[in-house]
Amino acid sequence: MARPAIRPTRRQFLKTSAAVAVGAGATRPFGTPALAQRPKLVYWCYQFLKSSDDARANFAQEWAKKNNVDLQISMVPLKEFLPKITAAIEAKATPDIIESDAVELRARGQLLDVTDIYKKLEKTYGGWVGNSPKIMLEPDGRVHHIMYGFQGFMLMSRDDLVKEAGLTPPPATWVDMLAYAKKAQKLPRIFGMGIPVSNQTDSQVWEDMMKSYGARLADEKGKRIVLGDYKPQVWEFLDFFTEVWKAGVLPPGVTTWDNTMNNSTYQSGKAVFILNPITLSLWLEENNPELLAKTGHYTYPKGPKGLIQPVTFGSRAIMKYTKVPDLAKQFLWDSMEPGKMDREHGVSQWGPVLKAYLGFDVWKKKPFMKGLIDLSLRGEPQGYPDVFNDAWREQHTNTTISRMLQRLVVDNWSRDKAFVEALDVLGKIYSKYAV
Amino acid sequence: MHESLSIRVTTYALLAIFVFLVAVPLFWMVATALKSNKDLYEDFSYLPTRPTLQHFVRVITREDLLTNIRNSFVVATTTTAVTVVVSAFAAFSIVRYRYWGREWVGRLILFKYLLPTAMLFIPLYTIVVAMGLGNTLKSLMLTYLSFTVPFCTWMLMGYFRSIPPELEEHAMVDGCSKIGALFRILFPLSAPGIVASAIFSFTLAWNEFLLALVFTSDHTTMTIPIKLSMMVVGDQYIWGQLMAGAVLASVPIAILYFLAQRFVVQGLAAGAVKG
Amino acid sequence: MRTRESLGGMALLAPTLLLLLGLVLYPFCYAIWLAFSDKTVGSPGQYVGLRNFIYVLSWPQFSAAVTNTIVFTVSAVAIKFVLGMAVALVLNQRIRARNFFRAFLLLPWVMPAFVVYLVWRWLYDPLAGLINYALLDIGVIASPIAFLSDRSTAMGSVVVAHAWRNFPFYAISFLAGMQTISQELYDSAQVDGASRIRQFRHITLPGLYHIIGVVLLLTTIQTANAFEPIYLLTGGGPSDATMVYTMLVYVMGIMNLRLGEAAAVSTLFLPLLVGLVLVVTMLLQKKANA
Repeated sequence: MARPAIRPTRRQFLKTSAAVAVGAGATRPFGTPALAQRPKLVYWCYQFLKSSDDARANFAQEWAKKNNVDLQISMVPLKEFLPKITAAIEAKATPDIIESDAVELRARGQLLDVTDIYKKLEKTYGGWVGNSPKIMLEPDGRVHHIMYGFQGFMLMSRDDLVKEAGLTPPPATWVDMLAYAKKAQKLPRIFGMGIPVSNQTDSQVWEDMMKSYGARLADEKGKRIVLGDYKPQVWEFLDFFTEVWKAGVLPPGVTTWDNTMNNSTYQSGKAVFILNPITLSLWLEENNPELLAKTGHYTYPKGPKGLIQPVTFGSRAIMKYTKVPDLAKQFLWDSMEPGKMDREHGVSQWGPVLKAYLGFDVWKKKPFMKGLIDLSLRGEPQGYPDVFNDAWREQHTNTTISRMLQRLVVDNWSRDKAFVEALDVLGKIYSKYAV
Repeated sequence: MHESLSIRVTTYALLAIFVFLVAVPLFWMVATALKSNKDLYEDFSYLPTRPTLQHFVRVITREDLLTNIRNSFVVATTTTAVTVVVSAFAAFSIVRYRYWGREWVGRLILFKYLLPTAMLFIPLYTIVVAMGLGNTLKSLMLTYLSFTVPFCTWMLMGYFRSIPPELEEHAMVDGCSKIGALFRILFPLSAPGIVASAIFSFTLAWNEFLLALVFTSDHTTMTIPIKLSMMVVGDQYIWGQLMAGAVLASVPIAILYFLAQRFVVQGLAAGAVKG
Repeated sequence: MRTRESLGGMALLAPTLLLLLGLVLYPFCYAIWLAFSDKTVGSPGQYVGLRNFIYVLSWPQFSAAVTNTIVFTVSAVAIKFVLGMAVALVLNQRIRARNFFRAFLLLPWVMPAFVVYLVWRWLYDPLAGLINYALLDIGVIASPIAFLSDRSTAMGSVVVAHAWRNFPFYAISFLAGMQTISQELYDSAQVDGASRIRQFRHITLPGLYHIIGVVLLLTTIQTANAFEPIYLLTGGGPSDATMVYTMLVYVMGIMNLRLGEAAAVSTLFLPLLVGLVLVVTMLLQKKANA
């Protein structure tokens, strides 16, 4: 229902990807097992946006046919990936190939070294885009997962309402965004800013905002909490947040919004600004082109200390228990082939990770893709300027900064009290990983 | 007469309130399943303005939901059949026999419930894989017993205890064996309780989520709750399909309830004749 | 004779015992062991004594989880009990289309829990929810209420949604229990001129004693372990207003892959639940043996 009209594209895609698979199969840089055995490969395909998921799954099916592989595909949504992989690892029944941004498995030594593929891709396809190397390369120079796309939040703006209010999109700073939101919103029907302040990970945007005010959580090594030294910056950010809260630009209910609510609020025309990946734009393209035409896509507004625009990613990795490492590597290699990626980028939310992909037509065809390219070229790894490590990730799933904000507005705590609690929580989390 | 009238009025007034409370969310589910996407994502409307069956068609044809319904049905039926037999024997044994330790077995099986499933699914999956049951419906039938059997054993202990043992003792005096008394006296008299337990077991198995999520990994073995959860795609609820799927998934079990309820009444009638 | 009979009884219990040993004991002990280890996913884990317990006890959300779990459990069980009993009594009367209503009023329990809570979340929504639209249209309220997002209403709203979905279990259990009470008792009470309320207190309630005991026992444990309503409706929020212990277990164990901490939280709640099991089962056993 969400994205129904992809059938012709998909059929067309199948044809091409089949051809691609044959072509790539001919080179076989990582060796192929004997055809007679029909090796088995289990592939957990990341489920998020149907058109993109279908494209990857279909490619895998075609690839399996060409390579005479007995392939089992499971579609695994992100939020269900962790319980499934946890049990699989403990029961020693892991898939061979996984797709996720689950870097934590790398840290726990569950993934196969794929540095060879990383290097070969870099050499063959003109190098990696933006901060991909920073995300993939570990301190010792090894690589355990191959990124296939950037993803990230952008500012989506109802340009029609903004212009109607006599303003020019996009707002340059967060303060401007608040001013715009106040002027362009039409209460009680349309709210200025559809941003969650809840215990769900989309509330991460507040941490990013706080960092654009100059604060950071931990030191350069990502070991010791230093947020306590940044009290003036945090207070300046909290001044801003308090103003946002009091201005009535946040719709009622944001303190328990889940990760779908900003989408649905925007879809139903009830928000001027939201921060979201372009998955929503792709949905609008098929279901509500009129609204898409009124929508502008921009990088985040800046804070007093500059732009903090984090980028997430999708990547493939091989579980170290695999019995067919060469075959799995072959799959990883083949699935990055530019012809295949060209088709895939046309129907998905991913930004390009290899320079050979930058020339694809799709980036020019759709206006909202420009934002995606900007994001891929310039986006910093999540958590920036903090180090993206396990400790950061744990405080992120704990939504520590959003909880601090909720202490102020839900529980009416004083700033000092809420700040002390946040420092305490961050300290507890980071100290577990410091040793 | 006066009292009976006021009782009737109260009864129907309460019934109306209960029906209303139950109906509102159900109405919303059905209405959603029948709404077009424009109704769902753009404007609010109480009723579908352009009712459509497209969501139903889609979940059946493109999502192949009937396969998942069948999977759930097979799992829930098997689990329930085994559960009722095993727990009826266990409950009978604990309630009507006297030997050391029976009460402790009764208590210990409840330990399954003392920890959240989030703590138990990993060791259970280890067992499943060790038995070679990974990604099979059998893995669910087996592990579901771990929560249906304790549940139904205790429910049946409650029902069995409500029935005076003298009835069975009379029968045994008349030459009936202890097991014979179980089948001839206790089972018929507690038929409503057994049916109720079967319904519980079926519903628990039908709706189980976390174990099914972890143990099964492709469409052929997916049960209905897992399939429905896949209709939350990324950061988007596919409301129409989700509700159409939920309504479809509820039909078989609703029919079952309806039939079982009739059976409960018949069980009562049979008992009354005996009395 | 006596031992032979006992053996027969044990034989009947054997399958359950097997199940207990196979599927309950190992996972249970495994979880307890986790609480004392530094096990993370993929590592074998070492014994670390009480470290996990000290950590989770100092975790700010833990005390909120204790209070909220108790508040949620007690209020949800109370509402479900009253509602379930009332529905059972109504359905036990000679009403028109009784079979239909008996099935209809149980429907909330049919729907997959996951869907039910998503629907409630939507019903409660201040911008797009049916409840707010209806209340605004009738004129009961002037501006929408963010039921799930305000500290004063969040827990109550979660409890209502949970009770809506789960009261049928109480109703069906009590209704089935009422069928096993002999009609003669009511007939003779009628002859004695006892009022309906007296009949309920002196015949129905005592007749349901064991059922009520078992239902309260099983559902109190289940309610305390409820996860889906919180996870799907509020995620434990706003702030920590609805943070229950299962939510904490989920975040620590599954989202952060720190199994030891999650197990420690579960283990800390064990004494409460074990105590409940022991007290209720003793009471039931005592009454049965009396």
